[in-house]
Amino acid sequence: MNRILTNLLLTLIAALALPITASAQGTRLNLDFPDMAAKASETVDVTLDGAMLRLAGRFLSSNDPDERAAREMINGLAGIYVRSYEFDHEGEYDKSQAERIRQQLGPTWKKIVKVASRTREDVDIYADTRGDAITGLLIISAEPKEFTVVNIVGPVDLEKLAALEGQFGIPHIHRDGKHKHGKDDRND
Amino acid sequence: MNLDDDLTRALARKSAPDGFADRVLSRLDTPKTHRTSLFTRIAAAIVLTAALGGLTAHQIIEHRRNEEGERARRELMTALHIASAKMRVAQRAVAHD
Repeated sequence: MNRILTNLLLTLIAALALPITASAQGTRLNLDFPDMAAKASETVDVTLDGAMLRLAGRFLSSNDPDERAAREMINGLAGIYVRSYEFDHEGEYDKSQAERIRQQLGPTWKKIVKVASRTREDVDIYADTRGDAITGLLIISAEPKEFTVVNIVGPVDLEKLAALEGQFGIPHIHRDGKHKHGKDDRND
Repeated sequence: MNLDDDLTRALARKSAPDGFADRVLSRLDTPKTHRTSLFTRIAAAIVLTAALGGLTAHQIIEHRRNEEGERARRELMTALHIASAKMRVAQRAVAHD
């Protein structure tokens, strides 16, 4: 009887502790799009959890500036998940898939950037914020022939991420702090 | 004088007994008898096999880990390139706004 009670107590503690741990590390979103993968002409599917990130980090070169920057970037992250699908023709994928991802965002997620284009690329960037800290990032990019989702789980330093762009040979664009759409918009 | 006689007798050339050379040669041709026991030989074989097996397994695991690490590194760089490219699009739009 005591054993049963102990097991129940441990289960209860574990059940309570799990969301606390998850909340501290941000949220991993469900990025499964089986229909899209089947239709796409090219697919990028990257799933790197904490252990794989640490393993990857050990293989990053200290001599390569890109990889050195990447190592700094992943420090403390719990996961990076990328799904990118390229299609042969326009309109070949269901754009409502983006909405399916947005529906997973809880109240701690805030939209920080929205780029809307009728002809080119729509990009939405959401941050999972706990106080002043960003504990997760979601990027949804929808192009006529390409759909990309990036989910970074863990404390994301946007400055480092921005610096990474310049580091990767991409021109660094100075941000003056304003966003194209309301910074405090949430889940829309 | 007796000593001289004794020495002369002792050192006198004598023919080898019949068949002596054959016996010597036959002994030379015979392989040495291994005196290690069967148990020792089996134990040594087991130890050697285990050592070689362990070494091979270690090398296989190390090789797989290296492959896995390399793949993880490539995937990480791909993921960060994609993420940074999308950030660039957003930042350009913000900068032009």
